[in-house]
Amino acid sequence: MKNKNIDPIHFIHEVFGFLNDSKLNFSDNFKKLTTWNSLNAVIIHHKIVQAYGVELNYEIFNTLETVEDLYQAVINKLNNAS
Amino acid sequence: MTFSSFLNLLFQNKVLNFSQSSVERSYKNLNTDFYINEVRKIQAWLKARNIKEGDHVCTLFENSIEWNICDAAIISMGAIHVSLSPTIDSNKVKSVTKSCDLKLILVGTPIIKELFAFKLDSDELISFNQILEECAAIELPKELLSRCEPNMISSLFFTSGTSSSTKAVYHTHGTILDNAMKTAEYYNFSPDTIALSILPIHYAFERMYNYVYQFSGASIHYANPQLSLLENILVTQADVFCIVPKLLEELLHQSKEEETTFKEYIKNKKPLIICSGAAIPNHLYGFLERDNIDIYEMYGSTEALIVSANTPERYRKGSSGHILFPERVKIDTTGQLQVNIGSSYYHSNFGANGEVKDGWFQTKDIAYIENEFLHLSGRESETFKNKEGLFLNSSEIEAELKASPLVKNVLVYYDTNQGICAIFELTQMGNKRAVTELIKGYNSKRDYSKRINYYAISSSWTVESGEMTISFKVKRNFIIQKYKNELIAVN
Repeated sequence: MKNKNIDPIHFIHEVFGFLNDSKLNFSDNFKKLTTWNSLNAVIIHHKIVQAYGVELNYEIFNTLETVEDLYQAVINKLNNAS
Repeated sequence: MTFSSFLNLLFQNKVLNFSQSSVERSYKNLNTDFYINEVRKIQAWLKARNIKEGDHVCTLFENSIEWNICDAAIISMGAIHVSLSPTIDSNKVKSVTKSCDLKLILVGTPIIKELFAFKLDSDELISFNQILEECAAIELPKELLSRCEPNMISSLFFTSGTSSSTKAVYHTHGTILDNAMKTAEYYNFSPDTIALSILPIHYAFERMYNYVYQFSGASIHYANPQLSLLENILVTQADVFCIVPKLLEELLHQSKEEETTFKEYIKNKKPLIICSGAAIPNHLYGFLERDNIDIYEMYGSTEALIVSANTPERYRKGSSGHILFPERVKIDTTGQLQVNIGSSYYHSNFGANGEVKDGWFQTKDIAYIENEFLHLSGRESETFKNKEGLFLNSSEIEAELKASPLVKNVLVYYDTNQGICAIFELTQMGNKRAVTELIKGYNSKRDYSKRINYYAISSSWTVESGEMTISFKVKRNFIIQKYKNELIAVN
């Protein structure tokens, strides 16, 4: 699916659903999930590719603070691709 | 003793506890009865799949009780456990499948199966839940299968691959148990001890301590992937955990957000923080001393398992710990540490030319021994001879540069054409101009032959982007190759 108007709730469900964390929201710290757990980073990367066809460089992950930053990075990548 | 006889002891004593985080973020207790029962199920399933002694069975699991159950089931029935990181590339799994003639690949969760199902035939990947479902139709044996002897191969351990290629080492039941049980004697872990498992379980350091916890009856808590490192530690109130310097730095950074709670935890628990994998950066010592955090460094490797460990009772500041088996360790004439690895050996398909000579593993670490305590002073590969014939050690230069708050990481190497080169990963305070000034300041204190000639500024070093191994060690060759064309001359 390639959709530049990704619904935020859908985004959280698609990308972070594997964590089974119903409380996760846009302001949550994204970095805390990936800095110590590389499996989390690999799964999130995979989920983004699968759901949005976007391949984010892993190096970008370290520059993102919140879940919203990740969402924005996906949107930007989709916009740049079109 | 073998692992299966250890499990049989558990049958009688019932002292082992595991705790696993649940969806609700709380921990549920899983006792020995549960553990043993699940091991029986997996053994029965493996037997039904015609797994025999000497067969290789691979697991791709996150840190979890399921990993322990599969590990115990596979090795105690005489099969060989090949535990790989679930972050590993699918092509690597294919290569291991071929080289080791893998009979089965077990995956921890459906999401891990999904990661690999793109490139591997999904029929080859069997998730833990699938196994349990299939177990329902299998009659369980009354007793555990126990087919292993101390000299039988237990597991194939893969190195994290700081050099060009990953190596794989076979260890016997005897070697692993000997090592873990000797290590257990160094600590006073008991059923009241809360051990937190953070580092990847297939990493020899974490795995060996997992066995140490089991043999001591400590309660093993697996870190919850939904939480930060700090949250995991505070939630579990861990008494002991293994860490590497990169994550220790991250933990100290996170602790600033909950300074009071963290300080209370340190004060009340006095946790045993076991650190290995690399030298602790100098700039962290200030934080550690300020917060009264004791770090117990140890030394080990995939080939030699645990070699030495500092503990509250056996401690030498600045050392890598008391040597477990002094007769199995020596320093050669060049100052290199050598460790006798007994019956362990490399898998022939994963090259390791000359790294073991007559049973002695050539660690490439420069070290000295003082009163049975091991002191590391550098890596052999980090010493280079410059054009002027001077021997310089890159780790010494790196340590000095890392003392700057601008520098998160730095790699120094010598190139015959360009001289001394430095590749920097910067902190948020760092920028190109500031780094140039830092290097100029460094160079101004040295004569021409010892100055840094070229530098590059890299993006973040991460496991996923390839600059670090899964155990957070720096992959020097990878970084040099990646940035060698981006070097800037220092004017």
